[in-house]
Amino acid sequence: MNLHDILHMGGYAAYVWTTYALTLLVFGINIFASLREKTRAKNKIRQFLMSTNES
Amino acid sequence: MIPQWFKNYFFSLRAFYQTSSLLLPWLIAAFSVCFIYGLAGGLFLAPADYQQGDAFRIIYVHVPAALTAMAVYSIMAMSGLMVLVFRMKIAAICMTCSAQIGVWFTFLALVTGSIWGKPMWGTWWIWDARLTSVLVLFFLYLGFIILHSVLPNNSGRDRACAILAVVGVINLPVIHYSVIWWNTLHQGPTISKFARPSIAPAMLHPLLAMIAAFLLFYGIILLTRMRNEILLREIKSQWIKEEFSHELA
Repeated sequence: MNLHDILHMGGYAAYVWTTYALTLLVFGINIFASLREKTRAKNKIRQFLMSTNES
Repeated sequence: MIPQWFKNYFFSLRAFYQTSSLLLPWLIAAFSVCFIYGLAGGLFLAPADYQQGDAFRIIYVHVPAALTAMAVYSIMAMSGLMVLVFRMKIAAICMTCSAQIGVWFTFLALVTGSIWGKPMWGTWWIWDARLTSVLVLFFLYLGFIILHSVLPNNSGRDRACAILAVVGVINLPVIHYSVIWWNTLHQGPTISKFARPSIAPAMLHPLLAMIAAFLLFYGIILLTRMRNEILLREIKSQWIKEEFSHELA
């Protein structure tokens, strides 16, 4: 199997590569969303603990 | 009815938070191995199908996505049952986080199936039993997410959502048997527990690896999201203060 065959996918390149790109996109969205949530949660805790320490 | 040691451990958000942080690196490592092998095997190592040519390679994301979508729903429904019976907080968190992930896998299964259907069946979509029942699954997930977001944040919300999750489980056997009960365009099951798989080993192994990878990915995102939710729910508790004191010092 050479590079041309891999990219060409027997004429189904548009379908196969779109599918895999979409999968990576969906995985990426899930990773990004969960990590963004994590940052937010930790920031909230930091704020809360700072406010209780001061008072 | 439930032993105390079980309650102390499995009903404790703190225990879950601490155990999951030990588990996550292993899940990520296992996922990476399965995913890389599955991608390489599916895209390059497996031979082209004699009927479908290279288009069959879509199976390596379509089948794992569909299976995971159903597995996530069954976990969501089981969590819902535990919310209703034991009023477990951790089950309510698991249920809600699962819905937010499962909806993506269902979306992926529908879209990749559609992209596969175009070259093989000549159409993007058809109102056939399998496709329609998976679309119903997608709407069940969406309905859950909408219900969860419109209700006020209390235990009543968790119970209402749990009822929806448990009732919707009827759809799972319908999806599974739809290709057998109805005359459909969708091909029959590729892997079955009860029979020898109708697929060559060189094609099967990457598929199994991809299924494992998708399930592990769900596990990783689920734990991460549940941990975030636990932090927000327990923000005022003493153990959070202890857990984060070193970061503030």
